[in-house]
Amino acid sequence: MTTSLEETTVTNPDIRNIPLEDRDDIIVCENVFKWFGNFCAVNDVTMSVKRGEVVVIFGPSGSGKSTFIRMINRLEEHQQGKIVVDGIEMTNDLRNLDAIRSEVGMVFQQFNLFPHLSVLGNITLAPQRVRHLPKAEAEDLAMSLLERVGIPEQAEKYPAELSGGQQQRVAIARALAMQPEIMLFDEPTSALDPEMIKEVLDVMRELADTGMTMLCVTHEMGFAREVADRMAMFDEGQLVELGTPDQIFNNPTEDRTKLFLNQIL
Amino acid sequence: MQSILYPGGIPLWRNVVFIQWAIQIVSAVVVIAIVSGFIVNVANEIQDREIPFGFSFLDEAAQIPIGESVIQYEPSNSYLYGFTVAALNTIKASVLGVITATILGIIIGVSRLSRNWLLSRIALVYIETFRNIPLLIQLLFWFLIILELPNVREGYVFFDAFYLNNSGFYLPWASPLGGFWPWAILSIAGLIAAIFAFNFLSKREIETGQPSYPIVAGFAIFILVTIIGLLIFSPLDIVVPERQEGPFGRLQGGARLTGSFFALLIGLVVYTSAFIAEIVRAGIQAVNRGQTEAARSLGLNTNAGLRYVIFPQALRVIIPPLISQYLNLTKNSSLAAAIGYPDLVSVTTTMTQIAPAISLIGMVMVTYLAMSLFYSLVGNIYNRITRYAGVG
Repeated sequence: MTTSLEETTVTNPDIRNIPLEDRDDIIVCENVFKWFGNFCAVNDVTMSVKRGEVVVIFGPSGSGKSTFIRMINRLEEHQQGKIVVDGIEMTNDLRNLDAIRSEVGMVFQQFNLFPHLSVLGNITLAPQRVRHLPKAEAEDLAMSLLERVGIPEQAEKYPAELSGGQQQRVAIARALAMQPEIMLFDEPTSALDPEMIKEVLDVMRELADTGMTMLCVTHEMGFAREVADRMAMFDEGQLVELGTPDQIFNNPTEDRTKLFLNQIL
Repeated sequence: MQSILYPGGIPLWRNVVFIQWAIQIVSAVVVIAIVSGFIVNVANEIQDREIPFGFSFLDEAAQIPIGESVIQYEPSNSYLYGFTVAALNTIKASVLGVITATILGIIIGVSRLSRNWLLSRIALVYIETFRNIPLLIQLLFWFLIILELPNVREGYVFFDAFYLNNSGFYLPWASPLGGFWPWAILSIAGLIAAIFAFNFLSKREIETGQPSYPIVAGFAIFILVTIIGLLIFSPLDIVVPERQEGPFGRLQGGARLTGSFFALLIGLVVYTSAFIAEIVRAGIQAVNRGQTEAARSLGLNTNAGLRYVIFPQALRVIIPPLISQYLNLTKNSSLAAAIGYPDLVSVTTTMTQIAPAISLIGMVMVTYLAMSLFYSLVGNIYNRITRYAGVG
């Protein structure tokens, strides 16, 4: 039994043609707080993300942007406020958490591939153990995803035998194998050599075109300008400014945004 | 002349290849000289001072008592047989100790990492107490506790079947009857069937994605077959220790762990499990936190994350130091001499009063070496099986 690409990943390019304001909210955050001891990592953040929207989150280090996206799939717990993901409120209910986690894929800065499993094993583990997919189906799915990220020939290799860019592309394929509605990217290119950044960004760009809802913490401003629907500037735990790339790059309203963009551009 | 001292235009004393070879040859000569000097010296001393040496004594009657043995032993048996009895006693302590210490160590090590504050503190206190008190002191402690227990007549009784008193620990034991071998064969067949079912169902689970409960099914088949066998063949005579009539109230039947052995086992297990707990904790913590996060973000629950992601990686870190703890436990069992358990060291030390000491000590060393190498071999085989590409 073969599985086509359309079946294996949430592909909904049509949604890109619907204006943002006409789409429903897939992520809603209201007055969200998070403290590490006395340090307020996320300070009263309210924002929502539309279905199929690509939001780039940027800002200085320690500004809480990673913590914020890690709260979307509960790798960090929010301590105050409300987070609703695709209609499911994030509470301490385990069933809700499992439902949300299998709907939200995540890609990490350090790839976090499983070193004891082959590339194929990495991608098929969760579909087999969580979705109870038959082996043959899971492998077909994995192969089609590997083709999509451009490295089907690496299927039998182990993570340590791959370059950083290849590892990150496997990590993206692994997350996609759970057929998530939302993909979170936590600085996906920060640990990569410069020549490998492009291959990962290309995959992300292609993913955005398929209508995937994406939250990307990244410093790749070229990527943001080209792909993002909106950009969110974080500083000291606060959402400082939220706007289209055009607004952010050409008419930032906040001084902190201007200052930060001047420093990195 | 020129070409020998300057091969390839490089003077010999600056030639890396020549220097490396020269160092190898010089060190080999030095080592051979020292070792052969030592052997010649020992041989001369043995001859000159008429120190008894040789292995002809092994066939003679040992004429020493051995307090307890795995196989039947009489003082009229030969030295070689007595040595074997002592070695089996050591192996018994080592194998039982290794198995128990591993189970206990894993439980305590995992408890140490528990989010339950109380559990993790208890594990911490256990670890820090028992690995920081010398083993010999602990052995004496347990042994003295057992000596201070009430005597056989007044000792503790649990469920009318287990007796704990100053002569040791008595427990029910099964001895084989006529139907034992048919039952054993049936049970082995059941075990094979269980393994077969486990493999089949695991494979089915992976191929079809349907939950097939391979572990449950495997255990169920094995236990069912064993119990049916018990009912058909009545192969075992389970003997519960019973009090004899008479003034001393002696216990008869069942199995007895002597006070010495019981104290030795507790001491070795408690001491070694504290180290194993630390190894297990370190092994789990050595797996990058990102691995747990990746597993969780893929929707794997805690159990699945541990089973498929964390443990396979942690085991690679745990196994080598774990094996080294097995070796330590085996070697530490030689402290049994201090509490009167007839282990290899204790028995051979008694033998040296008559038999040649050098020969016996040599045999003891070779025996411990063989046991240690066996554990190492098992560990290395495991490491080779679980090695994966690109890492170590």
